[in-house]
Amino acid sequence: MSARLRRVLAPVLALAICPAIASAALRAPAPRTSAGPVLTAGDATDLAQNLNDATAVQGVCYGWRINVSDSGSGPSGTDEGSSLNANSVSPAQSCTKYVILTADVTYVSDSSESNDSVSWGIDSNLPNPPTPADLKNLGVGGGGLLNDNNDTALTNTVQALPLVVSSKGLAKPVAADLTVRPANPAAAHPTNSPGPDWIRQNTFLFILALCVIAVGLYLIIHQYLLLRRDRKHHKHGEQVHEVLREHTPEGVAHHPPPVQQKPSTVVETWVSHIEQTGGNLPADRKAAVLAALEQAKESGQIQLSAGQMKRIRKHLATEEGATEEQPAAASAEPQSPPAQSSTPESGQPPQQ
Amino acid sequence: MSRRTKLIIAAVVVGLGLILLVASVVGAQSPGSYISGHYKHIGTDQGAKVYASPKSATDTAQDIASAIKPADRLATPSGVFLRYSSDYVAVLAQAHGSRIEVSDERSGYSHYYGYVGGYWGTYAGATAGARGRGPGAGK
Repeated sequence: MSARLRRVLAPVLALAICPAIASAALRAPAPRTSAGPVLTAGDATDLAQNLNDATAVQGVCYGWRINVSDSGSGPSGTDEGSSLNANSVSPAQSCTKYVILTADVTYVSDSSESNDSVSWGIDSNLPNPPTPADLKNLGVGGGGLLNDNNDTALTNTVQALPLVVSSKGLAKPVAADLTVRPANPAAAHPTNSPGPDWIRQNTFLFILALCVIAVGLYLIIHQYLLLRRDRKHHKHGEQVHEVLREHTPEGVAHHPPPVQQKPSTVVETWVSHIEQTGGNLPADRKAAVLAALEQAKESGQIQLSAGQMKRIRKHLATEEGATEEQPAAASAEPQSPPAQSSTPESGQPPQQ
Repeated sequence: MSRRTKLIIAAVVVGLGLILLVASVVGAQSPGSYISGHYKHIGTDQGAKVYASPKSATDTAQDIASAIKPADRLATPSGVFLRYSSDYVAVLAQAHGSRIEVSDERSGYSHYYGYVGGYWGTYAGATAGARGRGPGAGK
């Protein structure tokens, strides 16, 4: 066929074919007779009707063919339909202009190590047809078919085809019909209100702010607890020194204990101190120290374990046989001068 | 460094976090303010503010969705509907450019019921010309 003949016949054929497409589109598409692996029969029929409306305006047939392979418990097979038939994509492929969305979806079982996957494609005879990238830019396609709402994702993606075609200038835009209203307006209302817009806009900043606040609060609580512990240690150390004031050798400064030491460490240091030097004390000093310790333990000023008390009594026992059962003060008698030289330097326990 | 100094530093960190939090809230833009700042206002239609865009519907929708991320979006042959926390934005295809409509949630749901009914809310039947009940409605 010569080029001149083609130029003459092209408009004639177009005039002949377009009405054929239009008349076919004006007819309601054959409804879906059974559910597919993605769409129910009703959803497929609704989608085919929406595409049919677009075909009537644009003269372009639309369709979808989704191959689903599910190794789990879901359905497998092909979900297909078109603006001319909700059960089949074939009629659309016979049109002069057509755009068919294709996809291969693989759902793996939960025990599989591989992931679900989807690959999109466009089958069209238009010169500059929609591409999967166009759909992705519009926010449809992509991994939507792998989500629970894969039916919504598929419908969204297929319905975007006529919009992309008109945006590319390949066909007229489909005018929006905003005359439809709910039959029962009182019962029609939006649900599942989305969260604040600012969270979606500033997600990173929001998460960063929460992290910084969390770190700051942790530091505040941590430092407060340490400060409280320090005060408790200091108070307890002062109580130990108060009780054992008499044990401090003369001429040696009586300093408060370092706040870094735990109460148990302060007490243990004093017990060790008594073990090392207590035997050299005169009897009356032994009895006085022991009595003071007994009283402090009773009143709760100093927390002494039974083992620590036993060790103290052992070294502060007087020669008269003051035992653990006998109050040391009762049997105290002067034995020798204070053994200042054997006492650790100061009433302050050594630092750790 | 004393405990008191460390406490003060921790309080400063918390203050910084609070400033960032406030910035993330105050620095956000509503879709209405973004659209009014970037597109030409041409009137109102049934309570919706209407703007004109010289770009195609797909490009316009992509521009708005990129600037202010929607909670959900719905593509139809006639245009794209974007759902925000309290606004609906419809970007409708035109012969030249596109038409943008900004509605509040309640009136928008009724206004665009033919498209969003059953998707973003309850389905309560429809007057003539209904385009579907949304996927899953027939399940």
